Amino acid sequence: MLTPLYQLFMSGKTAQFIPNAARQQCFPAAPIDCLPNEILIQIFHSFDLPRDPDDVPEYQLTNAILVSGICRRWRELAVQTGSLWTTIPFAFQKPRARPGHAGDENHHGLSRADAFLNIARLCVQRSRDRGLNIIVGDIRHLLVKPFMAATDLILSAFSRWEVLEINGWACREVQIRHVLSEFLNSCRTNPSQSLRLHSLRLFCSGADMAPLKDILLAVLDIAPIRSLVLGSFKPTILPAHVIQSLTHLTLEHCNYEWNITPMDIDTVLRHCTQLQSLKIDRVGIRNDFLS
Amino acid sequence: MVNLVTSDNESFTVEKAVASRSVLIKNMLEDVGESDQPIPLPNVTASVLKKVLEYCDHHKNEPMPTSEDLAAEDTRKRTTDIGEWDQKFIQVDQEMLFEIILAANYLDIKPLLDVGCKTVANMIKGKTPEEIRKLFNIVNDFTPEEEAQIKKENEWAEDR
Repeated sequence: MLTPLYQLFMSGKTAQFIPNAARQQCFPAAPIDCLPNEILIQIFHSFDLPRDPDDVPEYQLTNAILVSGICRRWRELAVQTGSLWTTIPFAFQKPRARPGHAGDENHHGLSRADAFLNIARLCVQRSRDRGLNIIVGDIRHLLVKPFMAATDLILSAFSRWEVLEINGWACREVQIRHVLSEFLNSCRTNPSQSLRLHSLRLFCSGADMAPLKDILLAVLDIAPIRSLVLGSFKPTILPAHVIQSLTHLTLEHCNYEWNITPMDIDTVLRHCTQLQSLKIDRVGIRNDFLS
Repeated sequence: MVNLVTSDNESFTVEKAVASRSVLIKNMLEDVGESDQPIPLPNVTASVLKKVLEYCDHHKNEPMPTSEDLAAEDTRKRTTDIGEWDQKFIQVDQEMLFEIILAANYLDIKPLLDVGCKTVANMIKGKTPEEIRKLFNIVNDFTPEEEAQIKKENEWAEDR
């Protein structure tokens, strides 16, 4: 007669058991083959991240491509695991001249823009219906035509954008304006598509702040942004209804004429109702009194 | 104290706090209440359980991971470093490493499973596909057409 412990044990969890005999059979050849798919997928997600957050998107993508090129089983798992392909690092280093290659080619003779387009296409396709992280980095040196093609490609999945990061110090104001305005156009021409964009990080130089302000506000108006990181923007540009819906707000790099006053912070705090974190980093604060 | 019996019929008597690092065992103990009955672990051998219990004993006073901790694992900002003690603990041969991972999965010990997965990921990191196959004795079973496609994908990703 079985004891209650045995009954509980054998009834609830036995489906997960891998018989010892079966495991012993497969260990001699390639022990790693004995790991079930869900653990292999966890391993594919477990690479230590680089210390510099700017290196993370490229790093994750490189590892996804690496593990998908080992054997059929790993490839099938990696390709079918949408979460491995959700980060699209939209960035190009300044072309370096190489002997025998044009400046815009990698060492396989492939244009950097074409390489990006192919990789971005893979990500859009393999991420399936997962939310996307679009990280716009150094695109200053990208020519207009490949820039437009790249933007069109990532915009083809605009409703799946969950995180949008634009490092405005590494791209031109016209490029930022194009990405944001085309995103808005896509939203307006496809009103039935619900948006997932909940996190926006926008840095720009102080000079670009004024021309980008309206388009930033339009994006904040249309997308369900909960987490907002602004660099060189004063928080007072944010309307009350935007502040009310934020759960995380970070203000960075506001100095000199873009200094933030305690009064500005006070205004944010008066309007926020759901804010869980307010971070202020590298911000000059004038010596006014909080009201 | 809790009595655990392995697949090769060895008994381990351990503190409840140690055994309860396993969510599987913890839930069983909670459901059944106080009992002297041994808990059978038909999928774990004595040598593997000994290692697993060494881990559980070292971490017995730490708080159990919360659902928030587990959710944070899915974000880009997750912490990825393996502690110094854990690194030394997991320095075992490949067979034992995978046995520990399987046992941690079966016994539902999430932090140990994480340490095992990160260790394997660190073994993969920075290696070429050929080096990874050699390390794990994996057979390259791609067709020439698949190889060509993979070569292209690697070229797209390189040196962008």
